[in-house]
Amino acid sequence: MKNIVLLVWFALLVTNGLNLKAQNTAVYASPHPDDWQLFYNPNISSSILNDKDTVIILHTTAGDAGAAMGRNNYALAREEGSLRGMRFIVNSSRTSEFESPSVENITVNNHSIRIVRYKNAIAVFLRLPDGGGGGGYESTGHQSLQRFYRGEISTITAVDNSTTYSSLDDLKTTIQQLIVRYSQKAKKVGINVPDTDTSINPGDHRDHRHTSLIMQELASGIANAEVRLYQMYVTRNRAANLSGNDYYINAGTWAATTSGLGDMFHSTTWDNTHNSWVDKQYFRMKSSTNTSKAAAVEPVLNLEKTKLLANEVLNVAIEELTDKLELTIFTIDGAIFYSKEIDAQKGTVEVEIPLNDLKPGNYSLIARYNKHYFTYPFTITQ
Amino acid sequence: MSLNRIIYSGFIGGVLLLVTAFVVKGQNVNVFGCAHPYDWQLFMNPNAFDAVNNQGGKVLFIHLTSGDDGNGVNNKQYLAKEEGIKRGIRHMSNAFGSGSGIGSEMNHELIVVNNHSVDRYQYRNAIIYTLRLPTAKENGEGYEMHQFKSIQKLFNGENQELATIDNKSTYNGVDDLKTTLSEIIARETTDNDLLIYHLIDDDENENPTIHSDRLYTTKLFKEVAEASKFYLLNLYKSVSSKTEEANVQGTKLLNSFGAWGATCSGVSDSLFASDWNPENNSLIERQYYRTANPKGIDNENIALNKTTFSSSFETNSESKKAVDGDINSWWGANPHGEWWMVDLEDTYEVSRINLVNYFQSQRVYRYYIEASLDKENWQKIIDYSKNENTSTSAGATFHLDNEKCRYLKVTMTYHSQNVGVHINEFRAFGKKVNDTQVAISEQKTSIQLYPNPVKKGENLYVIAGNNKNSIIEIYSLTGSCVYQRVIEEETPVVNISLQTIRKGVYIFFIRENGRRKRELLIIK
Repeated sequence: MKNIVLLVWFALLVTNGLNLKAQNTAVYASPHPDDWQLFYNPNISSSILNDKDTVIILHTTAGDAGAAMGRNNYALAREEGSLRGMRFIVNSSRTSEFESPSVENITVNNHSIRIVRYKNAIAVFLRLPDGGGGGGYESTGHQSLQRFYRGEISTITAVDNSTTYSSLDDLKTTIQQLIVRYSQKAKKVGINVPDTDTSINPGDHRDHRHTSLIMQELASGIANAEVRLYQMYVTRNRAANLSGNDYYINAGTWAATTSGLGDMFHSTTWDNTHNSWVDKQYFRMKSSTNTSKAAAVEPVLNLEKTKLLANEVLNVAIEELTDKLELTIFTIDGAIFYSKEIDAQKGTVEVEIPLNDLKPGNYSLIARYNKHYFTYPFTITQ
Repeated sequence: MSLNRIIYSGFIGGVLLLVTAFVVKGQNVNVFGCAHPYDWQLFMNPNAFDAVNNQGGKVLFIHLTSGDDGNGVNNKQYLAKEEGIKRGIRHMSNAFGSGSGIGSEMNHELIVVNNHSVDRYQYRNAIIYTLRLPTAKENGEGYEMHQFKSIQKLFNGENQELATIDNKSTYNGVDDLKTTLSEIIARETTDNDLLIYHLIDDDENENPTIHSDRLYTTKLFKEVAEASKFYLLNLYKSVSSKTEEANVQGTKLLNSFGAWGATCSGVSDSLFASDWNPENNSLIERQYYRTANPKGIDNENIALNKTTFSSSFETNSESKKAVDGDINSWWGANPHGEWWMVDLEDTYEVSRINLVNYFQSQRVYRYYIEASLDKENWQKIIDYSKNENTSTSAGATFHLDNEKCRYLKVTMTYHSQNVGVHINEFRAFGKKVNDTQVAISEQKTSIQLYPNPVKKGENLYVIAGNNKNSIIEIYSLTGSCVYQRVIEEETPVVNISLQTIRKGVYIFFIRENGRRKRELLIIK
């Protein structure tokens, strides 16, 4: 009898061992509510569907573009888009046991946080203010993750006024405790964030960059954390690398997301700018070595000024080029504001870039030269 | 006022009537006749997306069955599928720069058509009908829940009636259902619209293994279509397309997947399985169809990407933008009076012109269109200078009497909102005329007949410009000359008595300097 019990126990152990894939937790840090769909997919779909991980989609900012909770519920429309995308992935392979997601406000490290759970996926909305070009919006008190990270502001308050983080450590501790809360049995905690190496991921949004810096720093305090770094806006200029089911799930997730925005009276952003990211995903493990910077030959490129007023001209002087040079400037939304190719040539080239219509904020002139990226930051003020 | 002045004033009005005598306004209406709730997403996209988003004009999605798979209304699966349909269509309508969305409300009405209640939804130019008939099995056998009834059996007379799954309506015989479909079409269209039907191909050689619901849905719609004056049939492969090569790529593929993804999102958010699976997904990569043209309608846009000219243009609104196939770009110029022209690059008999002006924000535009063979002698063929209608993405469609020309010129005379004038898309349809035909054909220029049609016994007035020594002839359609007169002196208005000519259709000729011009004359 004892042998039979042992056999059954062993059989259950083996069976569960085969099925119990949900030993890992994957955190996808989404600075805005549409970043995870455009830059982390199909990895996130694979985490949800194939690996059966507990997946946390951590939305750091509300992506409110200065609207806070106003402007016809723009922040809520973006949340609905994200949630539709999440439900779409979870449901895409499901034939039964459909249910409504659970919505709750939980308290972590004395901060109230909105959580929406659906099966093995958890959407977390910190609702921090959208930082725009890095300096924040006047309507939300010029608060931004960049300014908070740099110590330019001492506190940052969620746009729904649900909580205030009193220091950077307070925010980091809160996120860390949140992750630990949902990954206590995890053998591995995957942390998915934008790549902060500007030679790989140049011209990125300031909310992307500072979400990533914060996440990478707190990851060191989480056991078995494994960080994956993603290229963001710059993938627009890269070759499509997704096809078949990977592409299908991306397109479907993005459609579900955008339908949420349209159904809540906002522009869907199903447009050429956003759609150009759907067939691409580029990432690396943080520990992996990058392409050798030692081999990179930087162009001799000088900006006449790095602090400019709106509507000024950015003057760029470029010395002799031995290879083709590609110049790009992204808007804060990731659209291409400026693009120019300059062939190899002797002598100095002078380029004038009118900055008309570019909103105040921090930007980068991205130069691709000898197959490497180089960035040249500049700031536009009012 | 002298008699001469009265007659001449009458002719000013008469000129307008003559210009528009052979012009009939209509629009293009796309009709997607679907047996099941997912048919247009799986088999008829990206054409459905283009119809909603790019072509302009009204788009009807008529769904005959509920896709209930024998469940009836019990588990509300049909409502989940309807939400999928609606979400998919809202997604298409809201894509690409349509500005802020208009929400999820779709202007729902329960309307009565042919004594049957039918659900109708509208979202911008897209209109959805759901008839909620029961879905049948592949072979046409109905489900037990519906007493094994099906569209196939109704069509073949095996069933005398077919009730909707919600029992709101019962169709008594196939003619009752056909009449209802006809009345839906009639409700949404006019006699002069060009109806483009999108149906599953019912030819089993072209499209084998066709589901019975799809086969008989097409048979029904084909019979309905026959009553239309102008129509085309786009006939699509259904599941048989999966054996074909994938042929939808790039943006079109993304748009097709977008509509399918939004549909599935709507279904699964309503707590039902969405049918997002590898087999269905592979169908999204394929769209195979053939076009049947039973009435010989000219269907090729002969203005597309042809050479264009304009009197001026605004920055980024060059004249070529009016023939680039994109209704969201435009030729723009100012002020009123600016003209735009296309060279069709060959001589055509133009049977139809569709002109889309800028269609946001309730604008009224007025213009006239002239045609020419040589870019020197112009004939006004369309006069839209008294238009009061707000422009729409459908534009204005004009049916013509096979106007022979190479150049078409639009002169913009008015825009209600400002001094700028805009043409988003100019489309022309017709048949190419070969060189021999051009050489031997009569040149049709600026003869102006008033009134036309003319009542038997009344006088016909003719304005024909420089007419000294010209000869006027009127021929019957059988070739008999019923009237002939030589104009010996220049006469601004020639008065012809038609006392002796019978009622009928005639060809009116005027010969001068060895060249012959013609016009159709109707005596009633």
